[in-house]
Amino acid sequence: MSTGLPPRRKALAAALTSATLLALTACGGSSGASGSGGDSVTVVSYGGDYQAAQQKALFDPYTAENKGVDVRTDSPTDYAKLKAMAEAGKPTWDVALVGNDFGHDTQAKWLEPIDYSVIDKNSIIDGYADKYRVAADIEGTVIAYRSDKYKTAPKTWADFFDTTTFPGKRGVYKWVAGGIIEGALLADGVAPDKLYPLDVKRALAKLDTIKNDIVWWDTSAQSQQNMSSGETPIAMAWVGRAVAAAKEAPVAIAWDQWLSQEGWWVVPKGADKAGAMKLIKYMVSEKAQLAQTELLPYGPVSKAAADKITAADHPNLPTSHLDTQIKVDDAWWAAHQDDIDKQFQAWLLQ
Amino acid sequence: MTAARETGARSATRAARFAARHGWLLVLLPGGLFLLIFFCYPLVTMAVRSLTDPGPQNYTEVATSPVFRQVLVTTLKTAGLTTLVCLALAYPYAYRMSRASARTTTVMMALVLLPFWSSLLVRTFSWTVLLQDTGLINKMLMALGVVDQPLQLIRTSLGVEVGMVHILLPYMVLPLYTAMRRIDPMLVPAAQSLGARPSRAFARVTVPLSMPGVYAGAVLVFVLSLGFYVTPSLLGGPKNTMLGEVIATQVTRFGFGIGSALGMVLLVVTLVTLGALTLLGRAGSLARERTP
Repeated sequence: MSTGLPPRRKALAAALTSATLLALTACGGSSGASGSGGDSVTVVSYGGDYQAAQQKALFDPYTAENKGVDVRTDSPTDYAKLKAMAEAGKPTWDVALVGNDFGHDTQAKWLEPIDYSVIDKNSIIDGYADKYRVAADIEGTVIAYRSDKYKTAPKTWADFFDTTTFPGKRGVYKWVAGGIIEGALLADGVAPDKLYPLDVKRALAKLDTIKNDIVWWDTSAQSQQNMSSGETPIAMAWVGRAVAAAKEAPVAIAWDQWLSQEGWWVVPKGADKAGAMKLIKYMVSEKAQLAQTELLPYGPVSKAAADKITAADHPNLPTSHLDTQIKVDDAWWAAHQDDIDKQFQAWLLQ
Repeated sequence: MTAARETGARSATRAARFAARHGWLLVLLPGGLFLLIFFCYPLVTMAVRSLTDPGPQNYTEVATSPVFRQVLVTTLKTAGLTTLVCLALAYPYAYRMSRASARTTTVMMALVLLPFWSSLLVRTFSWTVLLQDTGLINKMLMALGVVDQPLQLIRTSLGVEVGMVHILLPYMVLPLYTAMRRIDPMLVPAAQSLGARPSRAFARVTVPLSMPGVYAGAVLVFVLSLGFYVTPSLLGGPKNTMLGEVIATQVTRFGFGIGSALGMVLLVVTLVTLGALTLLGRAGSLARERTP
């Protein structure tokens, strides 16, 4: 009797404490993917249709061929998370898909070097196997245009900046390292092999000439939408989005001058290295790359796979146009991105 | 035995009295814990990171960069303009609503609340469909021959204002309506019976008495505007960039240091604005009390 109320309060307090603890573990815990296990390997990619295609072409067949190895997946890749996990020494990701701005020597402290005694470097197209990264696919930043709006087709970056012959708004990626600086310099007559170090002042001066004609996009979905609706009859776009827009409207790609762009596999420092290298070896193999090319609008990195794919059958595949590709210097960008972004942001606000 | 029972009963009464007097504390506990864990803790983490990632020079960078200064000015200007436009549109609406029949009030209230039922993102995207060069408005104007070049409606301050006012208007209407509802409807006829013209009665009676609503609505809309991100990004051009967008870019592209510092700046600006408006509101109500 004397303890009639206190126990109830005690119970309430206990319930509240456990609820609090539960809440804390819920936000502290990972998404359930735990790497470094002997029989499982965890890979993180961008999610969406892209990762669904990878699941079908890469992860599922790998599990089928290596009985007992469970490929766990997570999404999306997040550099801040990757760095934090590598610094803590316990990454939950063993393999991560990253963009062109990651996987450089300057970022070595968060990455394991790629083990080329496991992965055959010679089987990969030249330039796509680096110290800390191996290309996952060959993408591209292209000039796409509405073929119904222009009598003559725009071909080069000079055409992109020519608002008299090719009137209309221009769609441009609002990210300094996204290719627009290179595009402006190419339009201004800089030779493709003389682009780096980039003359940012000259590029911004050239961009001033079309500043009022630019519609900036932040997400690739916007770029596609603006091409389909005709809001931007000419746009700088990722090849996948240009191909997707072509299904909704008469959109064509100018393959005469395009900028390199890829997806890359990296291994966070402290990950299950053996498991990660084995998975990457499979993912860049001829068989896996052929399966991937069936599902995605991107070219294979495997030489053998590229040989099997004809340009005639795949007119909009970046690997069908490697001769007109202009290489973006990722390592240069990794070192200068901060400074140049400041100039770019200031220019945007002017 | 009896004594024990008595003590038991007494302590039970004491506990009951305690529960009766302080039981409300328990009700506050979940909310308090929630705020502590999901608001205070991240806020402190953010403050710490702004000073340590890589160091306090984040603030020097924020203070000296012309970009951040210009964006801050744009943010304050946009928020101020949005507040004024919302006030101008909401005031007559709320006034009419407070003087309408029960049925009209319900209908008007439903119209105000309707936008709340669809997501902010969807409404902002709808505005892009309407306002863009190949959008409905421009297509119609060009088909009618009113213009032969599309009007620049999107990627301008106009686009941002239209989108933000559309989203924030309810936050102005509701406090105004509540304040006006409290005004005794006999006061205006009373003023007029004493010889005031309707306009004068409105200016000297209705407006001062609705000031608490104006104040509450203005604070709400202004503070919410400061943090806007999606709407200026989709409907504005690069010149309309607001602080929220810059913070997002910093965090996703570069890291947490400068992003956190900018977040702290936004927080301080918001608090200072709130403080200034509170003082202003207090001074206003004091002045009103003094006027006969």
